Amino acid sequence: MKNQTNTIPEKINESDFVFERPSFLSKIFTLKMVLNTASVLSLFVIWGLLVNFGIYRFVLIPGPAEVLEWGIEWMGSKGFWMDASLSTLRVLGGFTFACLIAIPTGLMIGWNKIFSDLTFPTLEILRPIPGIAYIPIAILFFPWEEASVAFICFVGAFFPILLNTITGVRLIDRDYFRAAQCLGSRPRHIFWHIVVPGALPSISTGAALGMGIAWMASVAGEMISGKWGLGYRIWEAYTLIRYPLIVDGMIVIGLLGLGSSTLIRFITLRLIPWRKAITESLDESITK
Amino acid sequence: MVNNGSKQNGEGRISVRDVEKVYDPEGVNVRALEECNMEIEPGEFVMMVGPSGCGKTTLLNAIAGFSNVTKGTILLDENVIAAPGLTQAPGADRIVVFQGGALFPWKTVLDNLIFGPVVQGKNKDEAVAEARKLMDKLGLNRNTEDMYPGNLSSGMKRQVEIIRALINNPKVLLLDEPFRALDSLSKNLMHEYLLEVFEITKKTIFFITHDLEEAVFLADRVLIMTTRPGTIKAEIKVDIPRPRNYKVLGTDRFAELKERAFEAVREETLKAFEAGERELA
Repeated sequence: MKNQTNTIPEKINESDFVFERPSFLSKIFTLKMVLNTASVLSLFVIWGLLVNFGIYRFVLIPGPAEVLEWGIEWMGSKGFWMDASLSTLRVLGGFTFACLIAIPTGLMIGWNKIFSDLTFPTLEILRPIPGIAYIPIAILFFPWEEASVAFICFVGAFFPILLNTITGVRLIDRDYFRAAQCLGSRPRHIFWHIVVPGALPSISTGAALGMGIAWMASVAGEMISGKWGLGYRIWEAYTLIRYPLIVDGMIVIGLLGLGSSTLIRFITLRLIPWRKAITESLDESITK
Repeated sequence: MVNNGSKQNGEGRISVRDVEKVYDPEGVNVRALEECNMEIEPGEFVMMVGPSGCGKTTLLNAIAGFSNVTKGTILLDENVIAAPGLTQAPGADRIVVFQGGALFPWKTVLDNLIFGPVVQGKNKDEAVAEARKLMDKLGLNRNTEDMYPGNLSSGMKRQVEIIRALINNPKVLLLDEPFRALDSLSKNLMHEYLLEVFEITKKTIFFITHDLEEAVFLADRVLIMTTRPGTIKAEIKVDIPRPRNYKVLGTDRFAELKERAFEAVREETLKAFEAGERELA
């Protein structure tokens, strides 16, 4: 089999290849970018048309121009940065705690039968209770307002991360466990070398889901408690009849949500380098 | 060639004595193995063929230490590795190469290779040096060492998996249809590769398969297992001299041995098939 080396050349000479450097313009105006931009623009165009022609009750909804005008003013104020940064901190705080507790718990539940029997039924009872239902209890319990909103985010993020972690462990091929045993592993080796990396792809899916739900929960939490935050601002804009600001708040939440899920994808791609080849080939087959 | 083993230190004898295995799912006794007896000499290459579901994998799992037997004993050299009541543990003295391949996809080729030595407490640098030495010896391109298994061809994955087993210097290699998923051209290459590895290492190999050509081409001895409850029905000594290469496949002796194996297995396959039909009806 020594002749199999031809799949991977010993040495690649640069002169073997002639690279055609793509021009700057062709890099920006890829079909993908054009379609992505068109998708976002069309949202604004359809919204503008619906409002402009007053279709159904759209006369009551602020239009894009108005929203833009209010938005620019809002973003120039100090209050905007307080709202945006406080909301982000609450979401990140709740999300981080959710990861710190849900991932180890999920790994143990997925891996250890006794731990699973001990904890899973209780968690299944808690699971259907939505984060919003915890708001009164959270306000009562936490002496600090920030903590109560972060806790609502925590509850929202916890279960998607937990369940995906458990599934991630349970879906690991039995042969990996057996192979590790054959090669002389003790339980701790199995945990760190098989259970953790084997569940990582599923954990990252759970984290992305959990992040989205944490944002949803934050808005609900802030509408009820707090003086700052995007959720609070939206609700305040409604009560003070400053309607365009409602939409501005919504857009900012959308953008921050997008930013945080991009961040998670960025981090997990680095944590799961072996997935890169697979994802790339998938991307290719979708594009073609 | 059965005497390969006597040339080395005589490690790696597998003795299966009066083994029985009854599965009892929901009170329905399924007798997978019955009065199963088998001796594999140190350094011998034994293939086992038999109809699907005949208990080949049950036997291999018992030898590997994944599941116990309900009667009888299995010995590896002097050590009892399976017997009723025994607490079994798989170990690096008998390593399995799996049907679906079990290279850890999250580890690079090199990290897969050093996994065994490292978890067994060996110094990492030493393990790396040893892995590289073995890669050279067994013809695995060193440029692959930083690649993930997902980027390797399926043949090369099996090659890495075999080396990952051999680096632990096991007494026996247990192969559970490892080349089943390969295309026939890669399969042929892997057969020749395994023969080469066998010539170099002289390890005891127990290999189960459905593929008669594979069995006769590789083995010193082909054992035929009956349909459930599985027991060894016949054995065919393959007297084709080693080292062998693909040219063996065209010889009369090869055809003759394959024919004999075919007839022995066919009878059992028919029985299994008819039994299956009755169960369905």
